[in-house]
Amino acid sequence: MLMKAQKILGMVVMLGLVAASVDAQDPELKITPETNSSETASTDSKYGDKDLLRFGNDKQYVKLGGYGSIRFSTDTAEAVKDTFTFRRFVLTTDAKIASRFRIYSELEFERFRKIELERNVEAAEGGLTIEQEIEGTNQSEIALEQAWFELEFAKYLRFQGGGVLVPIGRFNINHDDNIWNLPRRSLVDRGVPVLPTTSAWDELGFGFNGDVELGEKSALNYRIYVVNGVVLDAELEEVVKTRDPSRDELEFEGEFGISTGTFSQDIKDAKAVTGRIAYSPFLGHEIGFSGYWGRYTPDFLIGKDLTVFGFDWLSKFGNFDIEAEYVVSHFAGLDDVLTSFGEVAGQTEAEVEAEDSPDLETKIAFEPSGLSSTKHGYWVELRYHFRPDWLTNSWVGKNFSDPQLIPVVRWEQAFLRGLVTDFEVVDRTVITLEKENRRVDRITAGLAFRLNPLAVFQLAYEYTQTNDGETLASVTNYLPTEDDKNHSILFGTAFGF
Amino acid sequence: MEKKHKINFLVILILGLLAHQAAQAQTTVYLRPEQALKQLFQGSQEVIQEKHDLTSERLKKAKELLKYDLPKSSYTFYLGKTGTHVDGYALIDEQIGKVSPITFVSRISPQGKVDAVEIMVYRESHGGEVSSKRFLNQFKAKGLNDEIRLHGNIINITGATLSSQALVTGVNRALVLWKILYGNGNP
Repeated sequence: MLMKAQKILGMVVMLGLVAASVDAQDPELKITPETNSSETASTDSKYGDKDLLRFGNDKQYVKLGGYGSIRFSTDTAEAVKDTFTFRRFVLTTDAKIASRFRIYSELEFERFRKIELERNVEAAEGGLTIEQEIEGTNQSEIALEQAWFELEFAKYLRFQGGGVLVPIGRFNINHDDNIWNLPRRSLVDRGVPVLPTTSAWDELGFGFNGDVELGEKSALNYRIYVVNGVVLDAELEEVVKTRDPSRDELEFEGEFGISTGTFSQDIKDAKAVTGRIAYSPFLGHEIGFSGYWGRYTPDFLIGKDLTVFGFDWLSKFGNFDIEAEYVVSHFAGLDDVLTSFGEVAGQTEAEVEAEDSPDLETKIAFEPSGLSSTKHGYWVELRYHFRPDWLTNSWVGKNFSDPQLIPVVRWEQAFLRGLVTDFEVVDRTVITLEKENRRVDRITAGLAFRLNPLAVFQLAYEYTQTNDGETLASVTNYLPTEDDKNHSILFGTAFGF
Repeated sequence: MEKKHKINFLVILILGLLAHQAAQAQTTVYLRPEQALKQLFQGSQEVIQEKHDLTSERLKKAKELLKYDLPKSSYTFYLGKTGTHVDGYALIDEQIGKVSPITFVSRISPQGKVDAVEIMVYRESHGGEVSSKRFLNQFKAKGLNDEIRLHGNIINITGATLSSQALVTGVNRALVLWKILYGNGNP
C-alpha cells in the first residue's frame, strides 16, 4: 500500500517538476495586439544607458557593476598625514544562469594601485641564485568580498552558498559606499572594529534567506548560515632596520589576531552559525536581531567560542531618518587561549646573540593584535533629506533625478574590555599578560550632496578621542598616532554603477 | 524495510514541496496587460484604448513639468468607462531600476490622483520588494501637487532604492502625461 502511494506521489513530483520547467520560461510581455510596439521598448534611464552593462536576455544575463570611494582627509593628530585616499574600488558581477539561479561576486581593490612580481632563477657564481622582488603600493589589498550562488525556491526560501556576508548588524550587509552619506565607516564596523573583523566581513558557507510579507504593512527578512567562521590566525611581518651605532635589525614578527575564516581547508574542525532576523512593522521602520556563535581557536589550541550579538534599527519619518546599530563580541576564555598559545609556541621572542652576530640583530617575535575579551559598541546616525528649490532648479542639481542636501550627524562609541596590551611567554609559561579597558568616542557632522542613489559628495568633520593619555593607535586601525584626540576634516565622493 | 519506505516517502514529499514552490516562484511577470486592466477597471463596462502621439508643444510642456525629456513621443492610455462616464485612466509604462526596465501600470482618477500602481514585470535581480502592497499603496491618492518624492512622501525599500526611485519617476511621469492629455494642463 505504501509502495503504491509512494509511486503515485513520485508521479505527482515528476509532474510538478515538468510544470516547474514549463513555468520557468518567462512569458513574453505583450501589451495588446493593437498597441504600438514602441510601448514595450525599454525607456532610457536618467542614470544613463545601463544596457551597456548588461549582456543576455531576461532569462540569462550577466550584469557588471561596482562601487567605490575616494576622499581627502586632514587631521590634527601627530603622525597622521593629510592625504588623498582611493579608499576602495569594487567590481561586481551578477549572473543569472537560469531563471531562479544566480551568482554574485564582489572583487575589491582596497587602496590598491599596483602589484608587480619579478623572479629570476639562474646558475651563477658556482651555485644557484634565486631572486624575487615584489613591488606594490602601501596598505593595498585585493579581496574577494563576496562570491555566492543563490537558488530561489520562493521569495521566502532561497538557498545561498559561497562567500556570503555575515549578517551581523545592518552595516555589514549594506556596506556599499554609495549608500552612505559620511565618508568614513563606523568604529563598530570598521575603525576599531567591534565586529570580530573589519567590514565587509564575509565567510564561506551555506544557508538560507528569505522575505516574508506579513499582511499589507509588515514584512520579515531572515538570513541564516553555517560557515567556516573567524579564527585566531597569524600574519607574518618582516622588518628591516638600519640603526647606527646599534646593530642593524632583521625582525620576523608573527602578529596573531582574529581574521576571517579560510576559503580553503579550515584550520579548526568546527563550524559557526550566524543569522539575522529583521522585522518591519511598517514601511520605513525595521528592527533587526543578529547573532554569531562558533569556535574561534585553531585545532592546535584549546577550543573556545566566540559569541556575537547585534541589534539594529532604522526608522524613516518623511525626510528624517534615524539609523543605529549595537554589537557585542565576546571571546570566551581568552586567558586560557593565550596560555594554550604559550604552551605551543614556547616563547614569544627569540634572537641571535650579539657575539654570534655582532653587526646584525636577528629576532623573531609573536605579538597579539587587537585581542580583547569583550568588545561592544554602537553608532547612531541622524539624517535629513533637504531639497531646496535653488538646488533642483540651478545648474548644481539640474538633470539629476532627485538632488538632495543631507545634513548628517553620527555619534558612536566602542568599548574594549580586557584589551591585551602585553603578552610574554618564556619556556612555555606565560610570564606577562597585561590587559586594560579602553574606550573610543567619535562624533561626526557632515553634509552630503546626493545627485541620485548612486552618487554622493560628502563633507564631514570628525572628532575622535580615547582615554586620557592613551594612544588612538592602540585602539583604532586608521589613526596611527600617539595622541589621544584627533580632529579630522574629510571630503570624499562615493559612487556606484 | 518499513523504515526505509518511510524515509523515501519523506524525501519524495520534501522534493514535491520544493518543486511546487519552485513552480510558484520562477516568474517575474506579475500581471499581463489584460489582467492588469481587468484588475484596475473591475467595475467598468468597457476599456477603451487611446494612443497619443505627442506634439512638440506637449513634449515641451512635459519637459517643463518633469525637468527632463520624455523618453517616448507616443503614449497609450486605457480609459475605463461606464456608459459615457470615465471611471479612470491607466498608463502602462516602463522605467529602468538599476539595469533593467520595470514595467508597471498606474491608474489615475478623473480628478488626477493616483488610484493604484501595480508592478507588471520585474526584471532586476534584487529589489522585487517594490511590488509589495505596502510600498505601492504609498502612491494612492497622490497627485502632481503632492510632489511625489523618495525620502519625502514615499519611503524607499531598503536595499532597493533604485527600484523605488524608478517607481517614483514613473508615477510622476504618468501624472504629468495625464495632466497634459486629460487634465487642465492640456496646452
